[in-house]
Amino acid sequence: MPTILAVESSCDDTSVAIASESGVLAHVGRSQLLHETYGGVVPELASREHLAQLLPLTRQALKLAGISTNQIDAFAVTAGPGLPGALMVGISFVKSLSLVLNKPLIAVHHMHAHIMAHFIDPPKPSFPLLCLTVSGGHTQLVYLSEPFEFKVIGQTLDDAAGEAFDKGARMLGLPYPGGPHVDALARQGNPSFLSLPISKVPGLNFSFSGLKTSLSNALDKGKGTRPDYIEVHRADLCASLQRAIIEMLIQKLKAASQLYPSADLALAGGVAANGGLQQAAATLCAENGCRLHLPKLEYCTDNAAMIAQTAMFYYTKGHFARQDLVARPRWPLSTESLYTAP
Amino acid sequence: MFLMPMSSSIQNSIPHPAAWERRYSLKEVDEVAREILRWSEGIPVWLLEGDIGAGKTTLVRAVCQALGVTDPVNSPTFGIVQEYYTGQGASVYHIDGYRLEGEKQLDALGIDDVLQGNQTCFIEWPEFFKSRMDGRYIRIEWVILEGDSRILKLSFDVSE
Repeated sequence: MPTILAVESSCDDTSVAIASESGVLAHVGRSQLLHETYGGVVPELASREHLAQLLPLTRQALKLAGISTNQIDAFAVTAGPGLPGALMVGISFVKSLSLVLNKPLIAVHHMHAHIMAHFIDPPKPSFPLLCLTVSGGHTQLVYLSEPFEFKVIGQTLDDAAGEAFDKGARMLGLPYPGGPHVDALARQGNPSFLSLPISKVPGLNFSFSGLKTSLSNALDKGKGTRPDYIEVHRADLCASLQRAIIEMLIQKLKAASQLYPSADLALAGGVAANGGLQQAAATLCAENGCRLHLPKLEYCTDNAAMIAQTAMFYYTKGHFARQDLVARPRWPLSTESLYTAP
Repeated sequence: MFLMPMSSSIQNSIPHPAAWERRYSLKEVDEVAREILRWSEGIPVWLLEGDIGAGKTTLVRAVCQALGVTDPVNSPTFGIVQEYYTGQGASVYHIDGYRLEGEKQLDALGIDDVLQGNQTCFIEWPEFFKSRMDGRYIRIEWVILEGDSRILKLSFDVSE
C-alpha cells in the first residue's frame, strides 16, 4: 500500500494528511495549527488564506509523520465539489508537488471521501453500504454496492440539513455554526413544544426550506404573546427544531433502507456528530438489525485524512489524474463522473 | 393585472416602471417568476433581500426553470457561488453572501469577473456586493406575512 499525502481545501478548512497502510500518520488543519502559529482566527474563506496555510501545514504533517517528501508515493487533492477559488489553490499546490517530485496525482471527489472516511479506522463497514451524508453544504443518501460502485438515491431539493440547523439557530439567537448549540440545548428542551411540519417530498429526496418558514411564523406568533419568547423557550425551540430536522432525515433513511436493504448503515459529514441524529439512527438500526457506523468527530467535518483514505482506493485501482486537472465546483457524485474529465 | 407601477422616476428610454410590488403566496412562485422575467429583460444582476425563509432561493429556482436551467437549483449558502447552465449552454450564477464577513472576501471569490461578465446573476444576502455594482441591477425585497404569504417589492437601479 502506498504512502499518500492529501490536501483538502474545498471550503473553509485547510487540511493536510499523510496516510499509509498503517493508517493516518499525520492529520493537521486550521483548527490545530492556526491558533498556535498565527494566534487567532484568520478569515478562512479567502483562497489566499488556504495558500498561506498549505505550506506550513504540509511541513508540519511531514514532521509529524516523520518522513520526507521522497517517501510519498502519490499526492491527492479534493477536486470538487467546493468553492472554485479554494479548490484551485489546493489543486495547484498538489499538482506542483506531483510534478516536481514526479509522483502520481490523484483527484478525489469530496463527497465520496466523506463516505470513505469510515474506512480510516475499524470497524470498517462492509458492502452493500447505505450512507447518509449530512453537512452544511450537502444532504445525500448514497447506496454503495462496492467502494467504487454507487449511486445517489436521494438528496436535498433546497437547503442542506446543516444549513437548516445553522439558519434555525440564527433565528433563535445562537452563534454560527449553530448545529452544536442547538444539539446541546435540545437535550434540555421539550421536542413537542412546537409542532413544526415535515415537508412532504416525493421519493428519497429532502427539503428543509419550508421548515424555516414554519419556524419564522411560530417565532413571530410567540413574540406577539411575549417579547422574550425566544429567550424563555430557547431550549424547547431548539428541541423542536432538532426533532423536525431529524425526523425528515430519519424518515428518508428508513424508506431508503427498505428499498436498498443493507446490513451496514453509515452517517457521514459534520451533522453526523449531532447527538439526536446518532440516537435516532441507532434506534432505526436496532429495529432493522443492521450495523451503524459513525465516524470519529475529526473525520466528520471536512478533513484531509478522508481524502488520503479515498486516494488509497484510487491508487489501488490505478485511477490517477492528469496534470491538466481542473477544479470541479459542482462535480456530481456518481460512479461515472469519477471517471470522466469535466 | 397584478403588476402595479409604483413610480416612474426613470427616463422614458427605460421600458419598465421603476418599481412595482405584489402580494403572493409561495405556491404562486412560478407565475411570479415569469412576471418578473418579463420586466427584467436585459438586466443581468438581481439582488435578493429578505429574511431567512422569505423565499429567495425558491424564487431563484422558479426563475431558473423559466430560463431553461437544467441543473438542480438549491441553496448556495454553503458553496457561496453556484453556476448553472441553461439548455442553450449559457451560464447563470447563484450567489449567497450569508456566510461572508466582509467585502474583501469577494476578491477571493472572483466576483468582479462574474459581475462584469454580463451573465445572469442572482445574489442572496447582497449587502457586501453593493459597492461592486457598476451596471444595472434589479433589487427584490420581501416582506414576510403570515403563513405562505409574501409581499415582493421590485425596483430597478439603472444608473450607469
